Amino acid sequence: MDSEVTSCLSDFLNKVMTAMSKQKKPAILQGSLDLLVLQSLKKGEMHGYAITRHLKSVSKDYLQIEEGSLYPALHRMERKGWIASSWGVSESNRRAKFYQLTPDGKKQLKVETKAWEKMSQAIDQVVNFQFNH
Amino acid sequence: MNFFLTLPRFQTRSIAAINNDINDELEFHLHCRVDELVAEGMTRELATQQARADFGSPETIRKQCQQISYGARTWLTILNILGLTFLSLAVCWLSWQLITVKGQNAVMAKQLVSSSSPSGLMIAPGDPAQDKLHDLTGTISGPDGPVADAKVLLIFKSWPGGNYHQEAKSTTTDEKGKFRFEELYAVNMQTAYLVSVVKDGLTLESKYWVNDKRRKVKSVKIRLKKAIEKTLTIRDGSGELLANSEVFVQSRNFDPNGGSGDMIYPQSRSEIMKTTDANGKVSIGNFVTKDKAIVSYVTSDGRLVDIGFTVDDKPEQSIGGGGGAPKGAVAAGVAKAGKLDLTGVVTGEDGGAIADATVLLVHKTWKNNRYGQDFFKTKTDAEGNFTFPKRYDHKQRYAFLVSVVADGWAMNSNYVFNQNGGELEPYNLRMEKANTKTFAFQNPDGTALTSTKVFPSTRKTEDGDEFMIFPQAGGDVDTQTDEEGKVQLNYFVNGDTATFGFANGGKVEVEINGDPEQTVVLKKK
Repeated sequence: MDSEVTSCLSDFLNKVMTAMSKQKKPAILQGSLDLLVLQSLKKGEMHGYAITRHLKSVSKDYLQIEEGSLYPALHRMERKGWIASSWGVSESNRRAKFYQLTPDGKKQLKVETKAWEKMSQAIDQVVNFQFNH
Repeated sequence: MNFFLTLPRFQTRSIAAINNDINDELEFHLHCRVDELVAEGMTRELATQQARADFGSPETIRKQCQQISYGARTWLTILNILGLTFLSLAVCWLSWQLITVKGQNAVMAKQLVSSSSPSGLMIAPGDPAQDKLHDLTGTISGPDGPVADAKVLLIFKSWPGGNYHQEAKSTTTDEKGKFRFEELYAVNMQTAYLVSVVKDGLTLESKYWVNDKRRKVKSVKIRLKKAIEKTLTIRDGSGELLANSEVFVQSRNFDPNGGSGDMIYPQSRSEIMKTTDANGKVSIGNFVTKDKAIVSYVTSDGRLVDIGFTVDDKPEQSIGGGGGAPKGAVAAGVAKAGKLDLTGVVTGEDGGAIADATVLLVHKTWKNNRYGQDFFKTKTDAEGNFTFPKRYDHKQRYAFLVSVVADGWAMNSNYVFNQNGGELEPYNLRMEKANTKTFAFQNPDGTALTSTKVFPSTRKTEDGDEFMIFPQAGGDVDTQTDEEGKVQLNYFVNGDTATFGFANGGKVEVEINGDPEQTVVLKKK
């Protein structure tokens, strides 16, 4: 699933963002943050900072997120019951809040992934559409 | 959605505990980011600034998290869950909760109030002990014991409400070598300090630290060493003798490969200026042999130029003149030409060009992991265009703060940081019409603040947008108050929160009203 979504994202972004200037990396597209977070947590429990690093690393630095904006999203998803949190100790020996996917979150991930794929296909069709004169 | 997962937690956890968790979580993120940037070679000071810039507005994020964790939606959710079956129980329960909420709201209100005054990012609000201002004290000693009459220069950095602020202060040691900056800092936010000490015959020394643990700072102890007497003959970039010009010692003892040296921020330079004679000579007694040193001067157009050199063991030494800096030394401000122009256009709300606007540029670089900061100024042409020619190397990390000041237009600025370099598109700075406004500045005792240079330092709009001018560049756009303490500054609009800066490093904040004249009273120290 990791590679599927990543490849899907890269493909889509490459097509849509070619018009953007080369030095400007795109922000996370509106509505896609939940999908990216849920997908990241499929790998296992992570704290917020690890999620931002994971997104950066998997997208090969392509996706940029205003780091702070992740936290309201995490709290919202926790409130919705898609993820659960617990306090633990980080790799740097600091107190950190770790998030993990709940069963509801796994279901939501499927929903979000399907929605993304549909949207991606739809945009793909628009981008590749050729007029016949 | 599983409401029951969240309900027990809501019932058992206090607002304070939730706040603490949010604070700890955001702080953990910032710590991690700082560690990562430091590991990449950035200094801790810069890393802290950069981490905060990457993070976004911590206050906003904290409030968003709080609203989600115990906001209005929670009440609706709980009411839905309880339902009619538990109506009587719910009524009792709600009564109890309303009493609790009253308390919670008081805490929230206090927090919102404290966020507009100097308060910290991650501190539980409203603790009077943490709001108290503490003195910063210290002792300066030399080879022969305490050093009296030494100039102590302080750069005080703080992050009230998550926003970076910097202030320059100075004092002199007493006969016991002691100094004190009164009521300087509170422990309710992160603060940072650069203490630099200058005394002729003794080495320039400095100490920098970040009080990220937010504790009371211990008395600072700085030991100066015996310096050599040195006469420098200084030449400018074209090789001409720099006669009758003000120069200052900016740093010594630094490692061009990234180590930290002893330094003075240019903002403090007025305290330690020396003047060259007609032959470009000046006596400097703050170095030892083999120091990698920087001496700086200000050009007639206001540009700061640094001359880097290695101190030799002779009583006289020639420096500057372009290419005069020995290998290994850094000539940070000797405008090392980059490859690309920095360009832009300044327009009004209707898209019309704004000519003759002052454009200030702060160019930050990290060459060899050594932080450098240069200041430039230009004006827009008749079409509103401006250019800083051959300003940057797009293959290196850089940051630019471009600030625009034009009479009758609200001040504007734009900050970009490109970690991995890259080409910049031309700036497009669109200005908003400003109020025509006279400010009457008054001292704390109500007397007029006469003949004092004042500049627009920051502007915060009602929408939360922030614009700024680096204090070091304030001298390029300052205006002097008249004999009644009045000055016309048409750079703000109604509802803005403005900060005015003064040449001595002081500042005052004021909310702009709709009156054509507004009194601004300086606060007592």
